[in-house]
Amino acid sequence: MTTIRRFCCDDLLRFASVNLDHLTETFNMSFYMTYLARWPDYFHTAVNPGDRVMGYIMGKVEGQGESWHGHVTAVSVASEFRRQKLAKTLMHLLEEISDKMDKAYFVDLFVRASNMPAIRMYEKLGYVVYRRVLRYYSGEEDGLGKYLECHTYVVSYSDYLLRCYCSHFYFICIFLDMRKALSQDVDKKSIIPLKRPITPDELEYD
Amino acid sequence: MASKFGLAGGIPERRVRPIWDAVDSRQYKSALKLCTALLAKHPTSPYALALKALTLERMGKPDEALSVCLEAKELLYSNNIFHFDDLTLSTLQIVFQRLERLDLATSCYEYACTKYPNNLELMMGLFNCYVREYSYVKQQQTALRMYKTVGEERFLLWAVCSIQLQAYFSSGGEKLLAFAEALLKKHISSHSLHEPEALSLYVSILEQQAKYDAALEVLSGDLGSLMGREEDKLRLQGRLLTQACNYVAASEIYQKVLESCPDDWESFLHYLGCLLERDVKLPKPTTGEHTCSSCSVDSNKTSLSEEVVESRLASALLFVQKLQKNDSSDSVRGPHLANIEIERQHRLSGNSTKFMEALVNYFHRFGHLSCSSSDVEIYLHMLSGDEITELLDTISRSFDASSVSVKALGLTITTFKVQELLGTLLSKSTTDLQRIAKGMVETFYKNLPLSRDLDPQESMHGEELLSMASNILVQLFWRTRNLGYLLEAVLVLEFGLTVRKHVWQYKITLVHLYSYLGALPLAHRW
Repeated sequence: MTTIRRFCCDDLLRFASVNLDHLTETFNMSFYMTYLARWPDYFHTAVNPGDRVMGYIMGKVEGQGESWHGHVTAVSVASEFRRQKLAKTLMHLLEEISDKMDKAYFVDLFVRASNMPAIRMYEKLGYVVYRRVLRYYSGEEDGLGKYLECHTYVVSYSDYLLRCYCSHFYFICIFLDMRKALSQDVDKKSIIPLKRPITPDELEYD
Repeated sequence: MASKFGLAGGIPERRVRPIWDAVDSRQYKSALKLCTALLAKHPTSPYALALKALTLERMGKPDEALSVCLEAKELLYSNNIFHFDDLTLSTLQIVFQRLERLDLATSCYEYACTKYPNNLELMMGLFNCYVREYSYVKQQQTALRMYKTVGEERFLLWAVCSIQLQAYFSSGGEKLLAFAEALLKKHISSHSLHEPEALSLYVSILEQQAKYDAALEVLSGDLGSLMGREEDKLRLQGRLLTQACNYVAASEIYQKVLESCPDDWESFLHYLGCLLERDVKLPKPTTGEHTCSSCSVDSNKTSLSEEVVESRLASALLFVQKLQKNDSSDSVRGPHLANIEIERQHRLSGNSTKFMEALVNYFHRFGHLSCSSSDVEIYLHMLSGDEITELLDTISRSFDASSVSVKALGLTITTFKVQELLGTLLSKSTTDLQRIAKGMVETFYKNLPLSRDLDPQESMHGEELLSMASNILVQLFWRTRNLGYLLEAVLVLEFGLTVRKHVWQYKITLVHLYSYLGALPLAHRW
């Protein structure tokens, strides 16, 4: 028995058990609050009878013309509440809102190519790989010796922040842009895969 | 907020962008160099000064930053600048905010708005300044000014929100709310509303004034179509009807919600509350404590007679059983938990015949899921010591603990979790606890093959066993002060991490244990 309701600011103080998961990224407060302010309908949380946050989904809708689409920025479920189809419920909710309320053409998301569990889950939910995004990381160690800063602009993914022990190096990370067509896209044009990979500056949206 | 890369005060973007980049990547020394170079070329640019102040503040030189800001402010106030630029003002505002001098930022914007009265961007900046200072009245006035200038719905809504804030935090709210309602009505009559949030705000203004019937009328009218999802509309209607004490209609609405979302626990509680004509408040499980919370939770006594309560509970049970039949999957547990809640209500009025039965049935059906113990935690606390033993015995007898299957493992873990939640483990002897801890680790080890086909990044079956075993070992340490137990706990968790690298529960406990033991470098590494 899961009550699914809109995420609110106070939930930011209660979602540690979800975000401590190594595959879930934690952003800063203003990031979450921007989403809450701009796309409140795309930010939902599931709570259990004891009012504990079981999981949440956050996303947005953007684009123009046939690129008007919903986007899943983050979806995560605490380990205790997994294997209960909660992520599926949250994703369906976002898809329903994108489809019926905002009349978007498709929903997309970014996932790290190495995150097999997530990729399998999205495939089961009907998402296909539309294109691959190659991202170059470079950076220095900061005081803690493990944090890597991105030189490209921040793109938010439903994946973990990479930690590394080396300094001053470049490497390539592959992300998958997965998509699911919605009812507006009658000919399913939005999910015809691209032939070649792209770099982040070729992305149309943040 | 204005974009970072506009043409500010006549400075081309290509000279400004590297400064922002340097600041964002914390390379303040090079940012300062660039700022100084920029100022050499544009000595009277308030924007360049603002950037320098920003850099100085980040470098930890607040006094210098403040004096540079004030210099920029002087330039702005002098009449040499062609036009006020929101980018300059917003940059200055950032620095003033970090220097905790919001008043200076506000006065800059106020001055700008008097100089350029109908500039929307500046007015929005001013509005934000008032928001930061919690000046609700000034917020409202600024928002209304913007609304009068361009007639956009959002500014009216900002004004209404400001009014709501005043109503919440000061007295004399009724008049203000009535004023907000009048503003909205006037706008709706000529422009209607276009955003779902606008509808929510309108309804909440009416709700705050206890005008529930008016709110319901709005929802069932044309504006109601703004609310995209039918369930959300129904929930809101249910809430309004409950507040209006129209319990019969409210319970019917909640039934509709439950028919489409049978797992919606909050709606079920509201449904039951409406049937019994009172608030069904459940105690929140207190973390870390194992006390039995008393059953006198429902402070609002119903005005209904016992017979009526019984018949209402019976009809609730019928409805819940219908929901159970509609969906027999594992993921919809709501109707089954609802059963327990109904029996709890019976127990509260003295007829506790089927409460235990409901709990046992729940565990039979869902006990293998890792959430089952936390689902029913509140109800477990209502049981007496004997009942707890009886429950645990019934569960243990219902499955074969020696078999290696996901279901058996789940049930084993659930029985441990129930004991952990209720604190019954704490009363056992040291030898018993040692045996249990050993048993947990052995069970974990024995069930490793179940996770063979899982991806290494997925969580394993039985992960919780090691956490529970280490908890027991720590308890044993507290009891006996034998350091060996702590070391065993560390070993158990380290073993867990060799099997699965990323279990955060192990890591956090390890960091704590390492710190306690004084092995700080290890703690730091994790």
